[in-house]
Amino acid sequence: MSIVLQNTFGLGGGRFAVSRAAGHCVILTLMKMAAAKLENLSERMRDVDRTLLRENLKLTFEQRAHKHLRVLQMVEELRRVGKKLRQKSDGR
Amino acid sequence: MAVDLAQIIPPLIRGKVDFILIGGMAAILHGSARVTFDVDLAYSRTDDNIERLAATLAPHAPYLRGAPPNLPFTWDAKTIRSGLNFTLTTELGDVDLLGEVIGGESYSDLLPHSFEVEAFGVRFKCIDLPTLIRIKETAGRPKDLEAIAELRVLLEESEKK
Repeated sequence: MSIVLQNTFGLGGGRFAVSRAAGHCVILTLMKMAAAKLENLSERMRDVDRTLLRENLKLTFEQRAHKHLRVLQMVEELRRVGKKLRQKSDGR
Repeated sequence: MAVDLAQIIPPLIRGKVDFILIGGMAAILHGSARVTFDVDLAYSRTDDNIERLAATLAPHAPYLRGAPPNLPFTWDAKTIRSGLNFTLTTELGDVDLLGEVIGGESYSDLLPHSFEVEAFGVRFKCIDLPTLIRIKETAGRPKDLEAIAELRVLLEESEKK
């Protein structure tokens, strides 16, 4: 970053050339990072199960909340069973 | 305890609390298929609203989530005024109350980005999908990356409709 600042303050000659190159390097790196992030997001978006979401979008807000609650209750039941099993195997 | 919006939202509306549903539960209402275990609410920090929020939640035994039991914690307007964001357990489920979301936005900043939802016999405010995505992107938490991708797909699918 300091090299870029030297460029900003107008230091001349060879140092300026180095500063400019470094500045470009920083910009290119930032652009690459942004591109990688976008690519990553696009990849993740490809992995999303759209059929599931389309089904949800057919429901009303209230139906979506109830569906989620049923899933939560199932998760909690599975947790309870898992805890019981672990306690059993620990001999408690 | 499975958190049930149908149990949490109506008492807040009846208590005239100004809030906006945000976070994972807002994502569920937008059609997300992900599971979330708490309710995130951005609440107004006006004096009157703080009084109403304190009074509405008080009968449901709010306590600091993850804190050791028997701490001298009192749920009242003074406590809410002294703090900003609270992660609570209540008899109705886990509730996160946010005076500010990541990025420093308050209830009044988010209000223009909310819409009215009619459900559970009441009408309440929920954050819109583009703003929900923006908040999650600002937070920049690795655990949110998949959620953001799903929300972006939901946005695409909703726009197709």
